[in-house]
Amino acid sequence: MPTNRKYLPLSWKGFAFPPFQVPMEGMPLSSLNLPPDLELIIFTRGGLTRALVAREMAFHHVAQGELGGQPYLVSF
Amino acid sequence: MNHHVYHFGAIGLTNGLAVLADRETRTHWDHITGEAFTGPLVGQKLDVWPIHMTTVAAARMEHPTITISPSHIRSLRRRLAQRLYPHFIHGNVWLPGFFYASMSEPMDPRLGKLAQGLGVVLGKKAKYYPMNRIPVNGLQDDWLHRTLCVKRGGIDGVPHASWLDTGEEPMQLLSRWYGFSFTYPDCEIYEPSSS
Repeated sequence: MPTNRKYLPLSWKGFAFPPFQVPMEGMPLSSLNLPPDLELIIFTRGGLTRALVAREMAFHHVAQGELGGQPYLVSF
Repeated sequence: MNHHVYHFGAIGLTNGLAVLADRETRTHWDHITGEAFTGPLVGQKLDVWPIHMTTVAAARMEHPTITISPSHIRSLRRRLAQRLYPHFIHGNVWLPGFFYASMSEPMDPRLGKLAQGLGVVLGKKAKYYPMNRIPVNGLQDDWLHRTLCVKRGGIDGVPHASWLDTGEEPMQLLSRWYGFSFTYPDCEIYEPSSS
């Protein structure tokens, strides 16, 4: 692991970007009319699989919530 | 962690990668390894597991019951971020100048800095499979006395790695070379057999 880190702060108070507080319940992907080539980040917790929109995560950088009874953090 | 839920967000950059902090202690965390490297919780480590990049078409086919959580936050910065980075998997990406300003050492010159590939991690060992060296029909690689299968999704073309003997997935991430090589500086790089 790198030991020599040059740190560039983007925020001195709070976060540089608003984290995405993900609702407990998601919507079925099949119920939305999304473009087939839209990129997603998918992950599984507690036997359930959830998708987030990758380009939205380019803004939030962090999504946090609970799925299948387990807390999670997704970073991008 | 330690039976408490901490709340995280991005606060800066190091080596062109996001630095996370938790609101409760302002500890700085490596967002790839999950390690705390500065602050009151230094030495702690979050559990990490793979996430997968894919497309709507592939997700519908491979995960029929999958749910999605779109973000409803609207802002100029969000629109800008989305316009700058519409595609990550196969597209070229552009790094703003301040990303380079956060890099503390020369980039590993073995590959192009923005090359795309699959990084696989097992304990302190890591290996990078450049996307352009993974055939459409996948590959098998002898690594750490086991055989790793790297397959590309039929619809999205995204590589996934699993062990041949158990089918288990090691920790892995689709990553640009600069990010993976800064995080795992001694990593191996997959070279196709010449035979």
